[in-house]
Amino acid sequence: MKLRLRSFETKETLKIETPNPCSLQQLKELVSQKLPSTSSSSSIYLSLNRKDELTTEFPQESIQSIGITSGDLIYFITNPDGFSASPKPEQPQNPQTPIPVSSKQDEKVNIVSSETVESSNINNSSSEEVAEPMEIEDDENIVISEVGKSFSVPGFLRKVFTKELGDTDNLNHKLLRVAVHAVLLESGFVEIDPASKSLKNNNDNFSVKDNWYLAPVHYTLSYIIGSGGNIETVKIKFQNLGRYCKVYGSLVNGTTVHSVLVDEDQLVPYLNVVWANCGPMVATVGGDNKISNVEPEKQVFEFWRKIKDGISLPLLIDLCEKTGLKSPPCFMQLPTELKLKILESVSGVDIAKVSCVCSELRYLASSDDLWKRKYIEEFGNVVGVDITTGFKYRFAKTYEAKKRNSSVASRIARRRLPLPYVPPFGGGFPGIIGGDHDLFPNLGPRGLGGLGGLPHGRNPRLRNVRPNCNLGGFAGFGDH
Amino acid sequence: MTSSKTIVLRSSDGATFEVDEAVALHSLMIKHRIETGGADSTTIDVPEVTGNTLSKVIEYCKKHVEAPNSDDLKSFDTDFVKVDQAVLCHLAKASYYMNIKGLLDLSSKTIADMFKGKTVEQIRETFHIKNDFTPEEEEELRKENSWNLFV
Repeated sequence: MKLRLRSFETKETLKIETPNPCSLQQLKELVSQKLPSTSSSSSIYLSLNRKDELTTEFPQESIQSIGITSGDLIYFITNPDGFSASPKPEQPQNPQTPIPVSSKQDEKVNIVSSETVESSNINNSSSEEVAEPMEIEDDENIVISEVGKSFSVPGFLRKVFTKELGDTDNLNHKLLRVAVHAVLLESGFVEIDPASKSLKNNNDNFSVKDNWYLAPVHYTLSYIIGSGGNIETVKIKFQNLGRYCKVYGSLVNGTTVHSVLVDEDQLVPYLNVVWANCGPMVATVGGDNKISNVEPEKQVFEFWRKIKDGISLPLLIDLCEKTGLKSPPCFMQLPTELKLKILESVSGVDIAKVSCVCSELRYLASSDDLWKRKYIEEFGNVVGVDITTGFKYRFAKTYEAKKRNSSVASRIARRRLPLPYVPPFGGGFPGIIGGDHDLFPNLGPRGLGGLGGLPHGRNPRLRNVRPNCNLGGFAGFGDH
Repeated sequence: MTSSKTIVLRSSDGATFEVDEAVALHSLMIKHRIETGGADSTTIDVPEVTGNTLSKVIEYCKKHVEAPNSDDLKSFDTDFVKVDQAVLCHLAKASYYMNIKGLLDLSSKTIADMFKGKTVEQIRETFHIKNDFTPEEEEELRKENSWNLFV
């Protein structure tokens, strides 16, 4: 019999001739053959009313037995939850779980199928499993599958905003809160319900709970949930401080708290702009009523970096350490040769500090070759250097000596400043003439010249003066 | 060899990127693989690098291959490394494995600059490094390095 099969996504209609009798599976196979990009017939779902999926009790049962006759129009889609999804992914989402996921997946499927076949397979297979727990992972899949177009911070932020923000009450705070949530999602965290230690289902929180945006949030890593055992979590708290908002993050049952201060008033307009996808340049009216062009994305990048470096990365490291997982990317994770290469560009003084940081760096920073290079860099050449004691030691000694010489020179320069002047007829108080002259009679070319050239800057005429005598607030002006 | 030949690079997470051969050759590792790979060298696996990072690396190579003497190359480089630490470390690692000298030097120098002028504690905080010394070792280190700790 002849059937019309219409794609729910593209509204394209295929005319299919089916054998009589025909099972649901056979029909799906026929449809998948006609489609250019679908990988298998098992990823095709059929519906008559665009809401409920067509199913038969037994796989071999014919479709006529469920009431389908020749000439019928049947809708098909390549992911299971999309039938009640709105076709426009940018619309504010209604609270049901599958919808935000699938509308983004529609986007993904359309974009991805033209880019990479492998990624679309990943997406399709994840959509076949239960939609709810996979939801957060789909956010990560979004990142992975769109990689062909290069990960974009504003793009990712926009997606998460659209997903999480329903109504516009108290939008500023919600925006900030969701932005931080986006950073954590991108780093691999998943939100978790602290009581049940299970992944949070989004259909029962944001739009329902009052003041959800003020409550603390818990996160963990998806591997930790999958691994069984004790689920370690991190807690994120927000503290509203007027125009600022402080974001705290710490391991639950941990000791260190990481925090970042965010200028909410300044940041939120840029977050809004990113959400509305206004484009690279926006004219704003500044505080002095001058119109200036700002790049909102730059500000948002700054914020993203701050939160990533200040909250997300340290928390990830803490969590991985606690649970024995491999540490995330950070300096210490780099290969040894690379760490050494980086140290080569660090100054000698700073390398000495690096050697006090931890035992591995102490070892790396103790290389004599490295110190030889630093010595040459700092002091010019190594002629006459006693190399038996090692270059780090020699560097230290030479550096100290250099500092001593320069500090003596600066002390001499300081000593040329006026000292309390005692007239040559011996001890006593400075003459009271008036103004600063009585205390600083040596100010002026004659005075400075009189004290110049003395190695320790001590004026022999002043030997009888008690150097710490406080003559109107100039204590300690004499010899130190 | 025609100039329109393209190479496909595959990251550790299966993402693929099609690039001009000239851009791909900016990486000496890929150059070597192509030269020794024989006929079947149109898809190169880069398992040490994730998709996100690979796309950034390709962006860098493209810019440097297509306009190597342009004036805005310096400002491109400066902006290119204005990223968070995790991404920076990924870039350094990727350029190290893929043997891309320019990017390696750029990312190494940027990380090295993060050490400048910091105290020991500040270095630990910035790079999230745990202090694993015993109090005795700390005392010893303090004595050894007293010449610089008051800088």
